[in-house]
Amino acid sequence: MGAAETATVVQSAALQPGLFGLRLEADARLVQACEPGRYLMLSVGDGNEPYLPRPYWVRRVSAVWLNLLVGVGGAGSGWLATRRPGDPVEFFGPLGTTLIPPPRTRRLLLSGDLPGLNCLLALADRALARDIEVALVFHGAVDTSARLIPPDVELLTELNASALTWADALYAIGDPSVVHTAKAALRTAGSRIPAFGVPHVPLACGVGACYGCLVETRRGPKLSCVNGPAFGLADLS
Amino acid sequence: MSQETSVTIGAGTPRPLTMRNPVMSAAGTFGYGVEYARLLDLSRVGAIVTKSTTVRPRAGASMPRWVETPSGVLNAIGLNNPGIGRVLREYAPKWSSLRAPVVLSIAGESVEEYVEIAQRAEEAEAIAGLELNVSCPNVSEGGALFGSDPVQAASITGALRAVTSLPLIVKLTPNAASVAEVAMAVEAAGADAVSLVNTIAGLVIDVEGRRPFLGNGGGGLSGPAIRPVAVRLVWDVARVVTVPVVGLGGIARVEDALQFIMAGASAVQVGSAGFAKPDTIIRVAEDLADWMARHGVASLDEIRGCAMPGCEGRE
Repeated sequence: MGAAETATVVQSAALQPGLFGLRLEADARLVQACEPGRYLMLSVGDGNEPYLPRPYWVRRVSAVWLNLLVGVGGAGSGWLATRRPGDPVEFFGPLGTTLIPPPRTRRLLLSGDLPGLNCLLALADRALARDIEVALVFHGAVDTSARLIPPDVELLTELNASALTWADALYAIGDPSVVHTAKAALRTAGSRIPAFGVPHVPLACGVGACYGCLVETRRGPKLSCVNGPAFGLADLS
Repeated sequence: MSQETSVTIGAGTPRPLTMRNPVMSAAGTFGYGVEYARLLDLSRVGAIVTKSTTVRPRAGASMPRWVETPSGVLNAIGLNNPGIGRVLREYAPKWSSLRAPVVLSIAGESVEEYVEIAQRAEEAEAIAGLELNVSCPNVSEGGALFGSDPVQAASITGALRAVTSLPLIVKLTPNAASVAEVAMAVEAAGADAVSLVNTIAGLVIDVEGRRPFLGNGGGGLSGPAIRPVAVRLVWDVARVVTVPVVGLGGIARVEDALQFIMAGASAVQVGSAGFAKPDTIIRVAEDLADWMARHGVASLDEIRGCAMPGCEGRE
C-alpha cells in the first residue's frame, strides 16, 4: 500500500459553482477498504507543485467506484478539477479509522459543511443501509437540492433542540467551527445523546509520522490521523 | 554487474553502522519507523532516522504546524515527542522487526540532556546510531542555537562521544554563518558523520490575519525549494571533512540523490517527499542501483564527489 496506487477518472463534472465531482475507478480491494471516515492521500500536480498530498474522504458507490466531491479553492483542488475521464490520479491509502453509527442508533443526525461532505455522505450511506433514519444539517453555500444528497436523507435547516431531541446519535463533520457549533448546540439543548466531532484537519503525512495534525481535547492533544478522525464531542476543546 | 551500494558510518569503531544502501529517512518525517511498517518493506531502506527525541515529553508548537510553500513545506512542530522513556518502552521493542537499522535522533536544551538521552540509548540494542539534532530552528532553547556555533556544537559532540559507543551523526543547520566550520569542529570532537541540511529558517505571513501563519511564528523550510542550497552546502562540507557526509534537502528522485552524492555525500536522506509518496525512500534506493548499472558504475565510491574540481574519473 505504500507504493502509489492509481485510480482512473471515469467521470468528471462541474456540479455547481465552486463544486466539482469526480468518479474514480480503482482496485476493488482498495475500494472495499474505503469505509466511511477513511481517506485517501491524493497526489496532485507534478510532485513539486503542489508539493504535499491532499487527504480526501471518499464515498464508495460501487465495487470499483469512488465518488469525490471537491470544493475548488486552492491549487490541489484546482488540479483535481482539471482531471478528465481516462486521467490517472495517484494516491495511497485508504487510511484512518472507520466511522460507524453507535450501536442501537435508529435516528442519526449529521451536521457538517463542504469539507466534510464526502464523509457525511459515506456515513449516511452506511446508516441507511442499516435502516437507520438519517437527517442532515448542512452549513454552507452548496445547493443541497441538486441531487447531491440521497433522497432518503432528511435535510434540516438548523441544528436545534428539536433535531437533537429527534436524534439518538450525532456526528458533526467538517471545519472545526462547524464541530464547535454542534458542541454548543448540544450543550444548549442539554442533550446527552452519543455525539462525535470529526474536525477536518489538514494532514501532511496521514500516518502519524509528522505530528502536524494536532487536535486539542480535554484529554490532551491528539493527532487527527492516528487518534481520530472522530472524537467525543464533549472531549474537544 | 552487481552494484556496491552499502555504506558504513563509524568504520573502525566498536559499533559501526552499516547500511545496505545509502538512502535513509530524514528525522521528523518518518515518525519512529513503525508508522510506515504497514505500508513499506523497510528492509529495503538504508536506515531509519527517528523523530527527534528529548529527555522529557514535549508538547511542541501550537497549530497550525505546517504550511505548504512553493515546492516545499514550512513546518514548526516544535520537537513534539513522547520523551526517551516512552520511546524506549513502546517503540524500541518493535524496531528489530523493521529489519532496517534505526538511528535515534536526539535533541535537548542543554548538554546534560543530550548526554542523558545518549546514555539511555546506549542500553537499547535496537538503536544502531545517534543523530544529534543541534539544528532545529523551531525551539527557543537548544536546537540551532547549539548548531550555529562551532564551539558549542563541538562541546555537545565531545560530551556525547565520551558516553556512547554508538555512531554519532551530527545534523547541521544551514542557518550557521559557516556550516563548514561547524562540520570541522564536530568532526574534531568525535563525530562519525555529519548530515546536512536541516530546514532553513523561514516565515509565511497570513495576509488576511496580518500575522505569521504558523502557530510558532517562524518555521523551517524543506522540500525541493531548498535542494540547491543543500547541495551547495554538502559540496562545501565534503571538501573539509573526512567523515562521511549525509546529504538531505528536497530529495524526491534518484537524480536528486545523485546530485548530493556527486557533491560529496556518502549517503542521503529522504524527508517530506515521502508525505505524498511514502515509497519514495525505497524508489530512490532502487533507482540508484539501476542508474549505477546503466552507467557502468560498480561502486558509489566511483561517483562520490565526482563533480568536484579535479576529481579523477570524471566522464
